[in-house]
Amino acid sequence: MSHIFLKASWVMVFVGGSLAGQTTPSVQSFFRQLARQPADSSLPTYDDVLKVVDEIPAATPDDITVALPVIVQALSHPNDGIKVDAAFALTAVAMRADSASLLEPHLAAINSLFDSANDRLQNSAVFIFSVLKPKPPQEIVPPLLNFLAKSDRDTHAQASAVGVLARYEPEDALVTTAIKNFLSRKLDPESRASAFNALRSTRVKPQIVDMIIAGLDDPNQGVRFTAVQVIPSLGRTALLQAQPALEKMANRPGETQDVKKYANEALAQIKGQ
Amino acid sequence: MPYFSFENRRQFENGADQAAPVSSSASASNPLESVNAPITWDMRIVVDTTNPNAPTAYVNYNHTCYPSRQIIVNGDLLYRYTPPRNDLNYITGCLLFQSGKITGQTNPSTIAPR
Repeated sequence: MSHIFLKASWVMVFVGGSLAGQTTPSVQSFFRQLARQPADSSLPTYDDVLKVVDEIPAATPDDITVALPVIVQALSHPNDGIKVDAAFALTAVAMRADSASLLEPHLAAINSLFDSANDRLQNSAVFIFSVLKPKPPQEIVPPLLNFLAKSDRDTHAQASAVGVLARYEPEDALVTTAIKNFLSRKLDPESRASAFNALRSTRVKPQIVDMIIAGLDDPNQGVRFTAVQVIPSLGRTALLQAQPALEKMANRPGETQDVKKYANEALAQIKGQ
Repeated sequence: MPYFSFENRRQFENGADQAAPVSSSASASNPLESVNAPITWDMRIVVDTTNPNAPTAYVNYNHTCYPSRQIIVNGDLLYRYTPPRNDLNYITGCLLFQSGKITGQTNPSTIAPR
């Protein structure tokens, strides 16, 4: 009887298009109903999705465990908006302290987001993998490497994957090769700068540091500006490696004052000032 | 808390185009957070100086639901948005998923003549 009531109330919720004035449903019931929606149905508002996602941080592990199969089911819905809502719920789960164990059975479903044509969904998979707690499992590395190797994916999401891999497995030769291959591609300046930013404060191998140093000579000012700020965060060895290029940048005619300022700060750091 | 600031100054003179649109659209992200959670905006400010003594202006706005933003024309506040929340779930939805975009148009209001 209560089940029938629940179904009736959800029909009303989605026809009405808002949860205003109604009791917030459980995560499981919300996504079960969402997963059953026709592809062309109207979507819940962002506020309504937030009300449900807000339950996730304080929910019991058991409540999350029973909700995850229907959230994952919603991930394969033909409507991209419903997929985005499900991915949003997964990011909230991923930020929990127990997320690695909760999401471990669903890594394959999260991995499938890398195949989505939607760049937000590709990016959400990188984000989810990167924040798993207490630490991401080893199983995240192969799908991230596979994602990074593809030439038809969103390069901004791939730039995020560069940072996750560099933080997680900086010593892994496969990771170093994958990052080198990505940075060797003809990237738009924004993606290249994003990848440099993602490598900030990592302990990547000297051959990757070399590629960031090459960014000091990039024709795009945004790339140069990012490179000169990221290099000091990579450690003293990287700074020494970059010294000749930094000196060249600091004295380059026509270089912007902002870029020169950071180059001079990096050089001062080398001299211990 | 990410700090973000953007300023686009333009002087509106009497006798210029009677309806002068100014567009500002861009994307920015805090490099200390995810590089793929950009703050985006696409704003169109239309200033009508048909009556030079009482010019009016309105804003077409389309931006992420975080962070705050405001548009001031000739010293008059034309548009202000303050996010209702400041927590991780809200910001994740607004920036990582670009959900809950804030869109609309203000009513024309009189601004100070220059």
